[in-house]
Amino acid sequence: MIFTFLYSVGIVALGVTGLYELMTAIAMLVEDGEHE
Amino acid sequence: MNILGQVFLVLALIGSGFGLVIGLFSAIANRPRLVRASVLATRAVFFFVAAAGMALLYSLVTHDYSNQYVAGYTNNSMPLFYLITSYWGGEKGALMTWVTVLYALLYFLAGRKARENAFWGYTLGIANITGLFFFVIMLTVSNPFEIFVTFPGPADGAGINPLLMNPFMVIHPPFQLAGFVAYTIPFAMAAAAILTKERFGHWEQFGRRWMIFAWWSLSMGLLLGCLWSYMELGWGGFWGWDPVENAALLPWLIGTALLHLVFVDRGRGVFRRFSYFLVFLTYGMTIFATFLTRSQLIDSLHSFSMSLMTPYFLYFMLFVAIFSLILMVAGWRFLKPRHHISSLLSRETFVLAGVLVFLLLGFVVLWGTMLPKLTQSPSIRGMMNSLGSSWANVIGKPYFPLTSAMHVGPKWFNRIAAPFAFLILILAAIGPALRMGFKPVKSTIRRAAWSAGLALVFAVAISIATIFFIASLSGQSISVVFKMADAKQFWGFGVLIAGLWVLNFAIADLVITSLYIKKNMKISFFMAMKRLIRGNTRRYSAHFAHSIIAILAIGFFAGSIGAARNKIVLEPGRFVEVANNIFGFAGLSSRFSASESFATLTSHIVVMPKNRTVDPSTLNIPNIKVQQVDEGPYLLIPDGRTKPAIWARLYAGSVAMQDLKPENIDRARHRVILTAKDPKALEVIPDIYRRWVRGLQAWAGDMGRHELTVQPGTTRPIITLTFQHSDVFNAFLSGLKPPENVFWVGVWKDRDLIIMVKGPGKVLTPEMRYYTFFDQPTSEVSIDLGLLYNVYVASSGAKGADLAGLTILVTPLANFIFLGNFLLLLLILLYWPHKIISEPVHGKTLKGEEVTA
Repeated sequence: MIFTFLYSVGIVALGVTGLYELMTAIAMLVEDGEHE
Repeated sequence: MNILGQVFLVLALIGSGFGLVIGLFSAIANRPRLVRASVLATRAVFFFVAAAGMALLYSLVTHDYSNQYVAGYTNNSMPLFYLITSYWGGEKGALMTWVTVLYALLYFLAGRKARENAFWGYTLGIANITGLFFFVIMLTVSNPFEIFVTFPGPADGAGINPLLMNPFMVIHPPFQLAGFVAYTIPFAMAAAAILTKERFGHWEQFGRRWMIFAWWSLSMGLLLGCLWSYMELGWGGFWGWDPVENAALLPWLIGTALLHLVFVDRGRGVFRRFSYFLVFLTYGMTIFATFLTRSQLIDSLHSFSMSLMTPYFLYFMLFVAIFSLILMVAGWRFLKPRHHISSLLSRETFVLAGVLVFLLLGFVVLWGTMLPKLTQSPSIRGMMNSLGSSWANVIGKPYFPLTSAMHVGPKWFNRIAAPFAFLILILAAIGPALRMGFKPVKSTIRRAAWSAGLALVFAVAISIATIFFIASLSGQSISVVFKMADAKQFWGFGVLIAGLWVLNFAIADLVITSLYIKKNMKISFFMAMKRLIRGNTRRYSAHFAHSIIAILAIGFFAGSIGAARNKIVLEPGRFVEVANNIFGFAGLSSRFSASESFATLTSHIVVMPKNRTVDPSTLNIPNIKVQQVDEGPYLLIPDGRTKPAIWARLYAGSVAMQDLKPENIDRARHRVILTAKDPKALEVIPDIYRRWVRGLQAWAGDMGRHELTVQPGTTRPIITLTFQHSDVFNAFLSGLKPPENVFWVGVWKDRDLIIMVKGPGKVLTPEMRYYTFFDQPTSEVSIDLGLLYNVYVASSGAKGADLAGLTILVTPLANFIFLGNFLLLLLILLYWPHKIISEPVHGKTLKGEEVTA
């Protein structure tokens, strides 16, 4: 049970990290567009 | 978990598309700052893929059979280890592994190396194209998170093909796939370098590291596949020239050629066009190999399931081919060589020759692999027939036109590959000793001549010894072996000699040059050697790598020339002689493995070198005359048949070795009730009961009915033995304890007893495995790894009979392949962290040696 919980937390953490990176990338793109 | 995995896959698709577009945009629109956004998107994909991978792993481990992949490749009885490794066991999982490895590499690359310039924009953009392609396939035709729609999934999964449950098979695919995947990075870098006209420096300097990794990983993958084939498939060979093996060999051959060009070029630009072309070709071949593995285009043992991916791969391969062609045309003028080969005796010339041989071999392998497919088409057959008949006219020989698809087998490939291997080894021996780019000076030529001469003398001496060795091993006279060397095995012998020459040359180069330095610098021999290796890392690394290849080539070709093979059906007590070894078959036993849910039928084979005798005292029966038998692991008791008590005691030993145990002993009535040691095995293979009954009845018949009766159980699988005399009964009971040395007992010439014992021999136990979840039995071979030769036995025991069909092989020098594999594993340690790979380092000048190390 604990293992499943920790495992799920791990998966979600990975997913959130990915989303954070992707969002940062999009933000950079938007910023670049605004500069132009 | 399946939905979560699905979501992450979609996110990964979006991320890779984003990384692709932003990467290319940043380069084309000259916005170098946006490379950072592409890096972030690529890294995001890594996290998504890792999360999706963990979700798949969770479904595999927790037996979530609503997932089609999990239901198709695992089952309840699989151990955890194989549950985890079925991640890459099937097609969908292999795709998952592919993207996992790709983005792990890209994470490492993008995170550490990427700079804000157009080169990195293009590199990331192009690398993401491959990723995107795989995500599209995974979300359309081959989704690892696809669930059953109409019902919640089966109660138990189908399980994996038991042939794949082998440690070598577990690590073979990750290496193989990582090798394929890693070539994506040099491909993307090469494309980016052409698109930016190499404005940002020589990508080869760091791209080379990826090529080394890819080459090493691919080599490991191929070799582990060879070992799996040897250990698991039961035919005793390492390489079968199966279409998929060939497909995996193609990127290796071209990748090896590429590696040499890049190594020898060192950014000087002698082989620029050629190396760019080979980068594209190698990458194309990795896609082609993946496609061939999974498409079932050509029947092969690796294509375990039908696939819908074929059109996707065809389009992608077409795209890669056109894209590479455009790049080559666009970059043709700008990729003009900056330097030219300066001397015919330089290392470059030899490398170029080797590269051409590799490419030619690659073409031949491709041709042989595609031939069945090509000649399926009547128009191609017609073209080949017209060409063939006109050539036949020219040389004046009859021509037999092709009327159906043409297949070429392993023999054809072996015959074709041997001369190529010979040439490659000859070049590999000399190449590293030559100097780069400079014209050779007198002292070098003199030293090289000494080394070559000495190496040749050694090689010839060892070759002659090898021929004698193979002759003695295969039990043939020298003249037969030389006859073999004359005709079709000629090139195979050539490869052995060339392989030995590589080893000798490497050693001679090291020893003679060290002696030269010792004399000139007046230091000790070992100091000289140390200095020499330190100052010439490249040269001696090359010698080392070539020696590994030579060791492998010797292993492969010694086996293909000198292996002695016999396929025979034996009954218990009989023996066969193969290559000066006596193989005695002592009978079968069975047991059940609960952890992996299979029952085995194990053949017990006693192997003894010929002319070795067994010491009679090993039988350990007091007051009985025991004699040796000249051949094999046998002892004889003269007139033994007239001594029922002795016989019963010995026979009980062989009963105990099998799978029977006493369930009930009735001392008053002299009765023993025998039953299965492992009832579960009997459940899976019920026929083994008949075998016991027949064996015991035959024994009762030989003993004389007055001594013993056998009563097969009617309702339960038990057998009742009733003895007439108490001494025979007691002797039987005392023999039922696990036998010390007795494997089988029978009657010899109607009056003597003959006993098969282990003596100085070895016992091999090849198995047939009957899985509860798999229809076909699989074979588990038994191998005795010897220093000079391997003894290999695979069995195919008939279920209800005592007979065993045995495939016996004695393979000389097969351990060279294991040794080569181990050394190859170490090779990466030598190449990877070393600075010579990333930057040329200026080493100490030694008299007459290279200046740059």
